[in-house]
Amino acid sequence: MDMVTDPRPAARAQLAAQGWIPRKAELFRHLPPPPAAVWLGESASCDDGPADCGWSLQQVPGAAGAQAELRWFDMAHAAQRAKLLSGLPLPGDDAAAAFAWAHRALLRHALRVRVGAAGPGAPATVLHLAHRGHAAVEAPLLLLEVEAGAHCVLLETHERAAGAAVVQNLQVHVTLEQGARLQHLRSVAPGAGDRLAHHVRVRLARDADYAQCLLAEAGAYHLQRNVFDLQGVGAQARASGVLLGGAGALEQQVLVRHEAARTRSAVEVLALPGASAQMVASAHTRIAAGCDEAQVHQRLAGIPVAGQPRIVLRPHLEIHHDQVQAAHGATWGALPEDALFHARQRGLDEAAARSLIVAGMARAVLARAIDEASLPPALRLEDALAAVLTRQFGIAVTEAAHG
Amino acid sequence: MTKKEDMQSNPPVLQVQDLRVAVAGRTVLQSVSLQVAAGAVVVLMGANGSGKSTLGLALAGHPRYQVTGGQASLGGADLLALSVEARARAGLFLSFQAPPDIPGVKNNLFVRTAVNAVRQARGEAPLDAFDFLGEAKGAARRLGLPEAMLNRPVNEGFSGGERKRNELLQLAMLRPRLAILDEIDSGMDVDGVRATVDLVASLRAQGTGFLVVSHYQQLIESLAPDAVLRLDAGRIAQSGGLELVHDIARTGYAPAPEAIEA
Repeated sequence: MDMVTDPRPAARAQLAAQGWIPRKAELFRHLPPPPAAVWLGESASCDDGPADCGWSLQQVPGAAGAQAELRWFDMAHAAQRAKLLSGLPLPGDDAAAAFAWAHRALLRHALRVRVGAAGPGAPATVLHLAHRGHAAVEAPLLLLEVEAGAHCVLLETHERAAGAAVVQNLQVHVTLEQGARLQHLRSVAPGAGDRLAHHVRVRLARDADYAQCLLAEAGAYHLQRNVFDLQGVGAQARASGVLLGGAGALEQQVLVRHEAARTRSAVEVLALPGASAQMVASAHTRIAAGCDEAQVHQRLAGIPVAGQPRIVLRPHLEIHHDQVQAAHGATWGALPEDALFHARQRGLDEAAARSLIVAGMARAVLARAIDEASLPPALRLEDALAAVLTRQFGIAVTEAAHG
Repeated sequence: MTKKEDMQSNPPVLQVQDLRVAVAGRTVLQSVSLQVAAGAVVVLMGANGSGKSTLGLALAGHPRYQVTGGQASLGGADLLALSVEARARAGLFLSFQAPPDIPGVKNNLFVRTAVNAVRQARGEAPLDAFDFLGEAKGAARRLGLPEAMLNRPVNEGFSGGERKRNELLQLAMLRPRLAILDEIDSGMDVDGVRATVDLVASLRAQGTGFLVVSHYQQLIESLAPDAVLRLDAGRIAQSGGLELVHDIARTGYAPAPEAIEA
């Protein structure tokens, strides 16, 4: 298939040939995604969108000068299309590939950000990329390349226009060259009727370092899927996700592939659903043969904030080498009773004590991937977390919560 | 009038009468009666498992500790009718034997929220961050708690002694009417014990009554208690002064004579 010259019809044909994700597909069996037609949309409602494809670079107060080069691509131009697609990996062969084909079938514009190294001892390049939803059905694409030795801090936020529900199939491809470092903060808050599928794929070269904090709210359907390929010796990836929602559906999948020696990964997800929410958190880590001294850590936790929601936690390790360290666990339970009693014994009413503890647990999980104290205030997820807790559970995280 | 006589003449801030407490269906406290006057220190001793911690947790309203009989009042109000937080706001403070972690919640936020909840209940204006921090830093310094710990999550990564000092920090900031200190000395070094004695003396002078659970003779002597009680098999088996502490140090928690006669 010649993807460079004619990718969109070809992708549509590919999808038609292979079919959409079966309802019983293992990868999606606990929260099956809506059918292909939802992601492909009607031609009139699809993403022709603005040339910036909804992405804009926001000012970050107090941040050092950015060493970043931004380039927008338009699929209508053959040369741009060829350039863009030549650097894009083909969809894989697992069930999630259907999303990638649906994305290509709709792809209109893309943004590529290339972050250069500023020299030894230079401050990190700090970016805030905001995506503004603009179509009923859209397929945004972001390519982020961090050059060898460069250090970047990226806040990626998603806004939506008020009004009708949207469908968004986002693909983000991150490439970290040798010794590059990216701290990636993501905040995604869909409306109650929105259907979202975000796919973040990260490829790490030797000694590259990737850390992601995700704050995600439930929607009508909301998938956050991460794939980390640790290709170079000494590469490491950490991902922390906090999933929140009083109602609706939300799934986070993290697939980590260790492909070299001395690679390290840590995945932690905390699901905090309300009474009528459905949440799934799955972590699958694969250590290939020859990955000497690889280290793997997975921790999944689910704590109902109210009622008896449905929570599915799926830790999975696949180890093909002996000399590795791996730990994983999943816990489903209530808020810690001793901490709750301690807080109430100090005079906090039960609702305030619960709020404090829930917010604290979320903050602690995020902090294990990225220490926000080292970031400019405008990049921190603290305010976003407070807003989500208030919106989803009526939990008031007061000014005092900022300590 | 001597200091002790003066203390004993004060109206009791805590009065417990025939308290009976069950945990998971098993009666742990059979019948406990005691009182603590404002500004007084009452020491509670007893063998492991005798029910000392149960008494503190039941008075604080822990949901797993069911009061099945008796009465308890704080400043004349029915303590047992109040919620956990209402007891705290009424002036009851319990220092925990094993203070829990509260991940992600900074110590200064936690303590300020608690202080302001109690101040609000007393009809006082809330402390702003600046005033709070000034007071908290001073208290932390007096207790030998590194200032940096105010900015760390509650008890996370703290040593046993630091956790206890952190409980004392909360005690100092909350200034309750009655404080129950459950083995506050365990895990604490000599400087920590000295800081405990100083804090108790300071709060006592302001009218706080103390019920102190301890096995540590030196601490008890330093506190100069108004009364020493010995809890055995869910009842107050003996009461006295420091001579009872010395007897226990000498003979251990042998059955009380009354119990043997019975």
